[in-house]
Amino acid sequence: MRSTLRGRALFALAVAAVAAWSLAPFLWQAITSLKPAAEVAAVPVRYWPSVLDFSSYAQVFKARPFATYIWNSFVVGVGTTALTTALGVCAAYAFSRLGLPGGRAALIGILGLSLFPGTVLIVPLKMLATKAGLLNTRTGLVIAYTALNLPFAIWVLKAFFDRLPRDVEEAAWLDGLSRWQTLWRIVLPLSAPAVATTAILVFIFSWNEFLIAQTLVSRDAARTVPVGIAMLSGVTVYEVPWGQIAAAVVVTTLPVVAMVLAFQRRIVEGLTAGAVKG
Amino acid sequence: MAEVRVENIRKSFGAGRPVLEGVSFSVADGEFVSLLGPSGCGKTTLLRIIAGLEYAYSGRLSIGGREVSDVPPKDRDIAFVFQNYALYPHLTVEENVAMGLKLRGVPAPEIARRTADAAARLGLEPLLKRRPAALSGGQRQRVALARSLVREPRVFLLDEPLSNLDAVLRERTRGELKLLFKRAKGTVVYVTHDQVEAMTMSDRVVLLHEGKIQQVGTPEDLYRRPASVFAATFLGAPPMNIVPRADAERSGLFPDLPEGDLLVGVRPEELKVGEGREAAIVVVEPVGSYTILTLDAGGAAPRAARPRTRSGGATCRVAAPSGAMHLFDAADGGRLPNP
Ligand SMILES: Nc1ncnc2c1ncn2[C@@H]1O[C@H](COP(=O)(O)OP(=O)(O)O)[C@@H](O)[C@H]1O
Ligand SMILES: [Mg+2]
Repeated sequence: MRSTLRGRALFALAVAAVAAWSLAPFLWQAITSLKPAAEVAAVPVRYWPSVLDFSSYAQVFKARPFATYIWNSFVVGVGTTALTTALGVCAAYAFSRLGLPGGRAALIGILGLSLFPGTVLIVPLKMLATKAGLLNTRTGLVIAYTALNLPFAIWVLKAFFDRLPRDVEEAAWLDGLSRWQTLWRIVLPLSAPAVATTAILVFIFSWNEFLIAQTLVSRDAARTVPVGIAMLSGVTVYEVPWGQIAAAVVVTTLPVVAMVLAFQRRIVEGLTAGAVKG
Repeated sequence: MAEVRVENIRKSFGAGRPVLEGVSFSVADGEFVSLLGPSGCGKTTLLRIIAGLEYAYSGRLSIGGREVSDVPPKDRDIAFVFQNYALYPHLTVEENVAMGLKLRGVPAPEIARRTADAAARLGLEPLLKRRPAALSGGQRQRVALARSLVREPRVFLLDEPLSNLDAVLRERTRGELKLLFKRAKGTVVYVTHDQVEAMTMSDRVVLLHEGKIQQVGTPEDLYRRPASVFAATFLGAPPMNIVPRADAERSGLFPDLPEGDLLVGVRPEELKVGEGREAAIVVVEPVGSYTILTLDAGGAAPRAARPRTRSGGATCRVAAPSGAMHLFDAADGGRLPNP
């Protein structure tokens, strides 16, 4: 009993250490966002604000249309996630089950494409978007992000589908389900953990993406959060508005954390339901 | 009317040795036929071809007089019980059983009635709301059977449905299954590698070996007149004694052997212990209801099975009644007529 108590205490300590390590930057941002302007860059460092000052938050929304940015990020994130997951599931299922001629070569080709450094794609992407009239649109971002994320989604989902027992699907055909119905009613419910994980990672990618968003969008109407944060500036070039940046980071991170936690529950549920096999 | 006719089915996977090399047999309406053979002989492949889950390379297949080679699995009016049951893990027992009816547009009250009926026949009522994960192996097996029965198909295809059960449960379920399918009045094709299952349950047995049919007949036929050395040794426990002619002659158990390159066979349970020539007892294996003796009789080392008796003694007398002898061609293993 004593030894397990000690073990648990040690475990809790270890968890606390890792959490502190990972959360420290975010906590620092959160604290910074609540400091009065004078204390943000004070020397020597002031760790705890003398008063809680929420003015940075007000300023962020005044300086830039952050509500619009957040909405844009949300729309682009959800659009990218939905499109990538839908296309990824269909493609991965086809690769996994239909025995397509040249399927292996196609898969390796897809992997090869995804190894291209993103920076190389920036200029061609901009030219394509210009030609297609998708500059300064959220649709343009969704299409670009989906293209970049699909290889990853296909590989993860195919690996998962490969391990699902085939005879369950065959039982479904014998029961009268079509291919599509089998995918929708049998394969997807059994793959919920993999699909949810893929969706979360794609959403986080899209939420954080900077380079392409900066290149394809130059108007507030379609601008996303990471670019918006980078555009916060002080009165002079030499002044960096740390308080506002910190406030923007907090405001834009919390929704993602909330969403991931909500999904997380679904994943855990999916994983336990998956124990059904065997 | 749901006769199953399989004509000259061939199948191979890729470039390797063909898995099925021209298999033909038929199953009469309402008949219970076992496909029996050792692991890897192509039983599952053959059953999957009948179900439409696998394509044959060539050959013809009809169910109820209709050519079905191009008919999709769901329209063949068959039910398939998979070796590891293949239940839907995310659905309850009730939903598992009802799925096939729902998709065929059967009205809800009838689905409820038929599901309840199948559940009752298999003793599944208390489990209807559970998911497969919460069931034992035997219970899952019964859900798989209920899922096939509820459809009331014309043909049942079963792939080693008992192989995942423990010995006691398997023994008990064998009889239950036989009764169940007799009542369902369907045509049954039952795959097994267990000769006891095939012998006890079937009207007829199709014996497969390396993709070829060795023999088709009633269990009695296969036991009395095995068509080949393979059939002779695959059916029966302990298996038939088979020795080359020269050894058989030296043992003196078989007078008047015909000439030729022969193999001589005799079933352990048909050797007479207690009369005939003297033989040394090498091994004694009491099985319970009978005892298996391994003997040293000159050139041959036959095994004999005899009713349980007091054991003891280093020798016994043994004789082979003339009617008990089976002769096979040493070259191809085929059966030869007795002299
Ligand atoms: N999908 C497949 N691909 C390649 N070979 C297969 C496939 N299915 C079965 N085989 C081969 O076919 C042979 C017969 O298999 P199977 O019909 O499962 O035998 P059984 O059910 O009698 O044990 C085996 O040698 C097996 O390796
Ligand atoms: Mg098999």
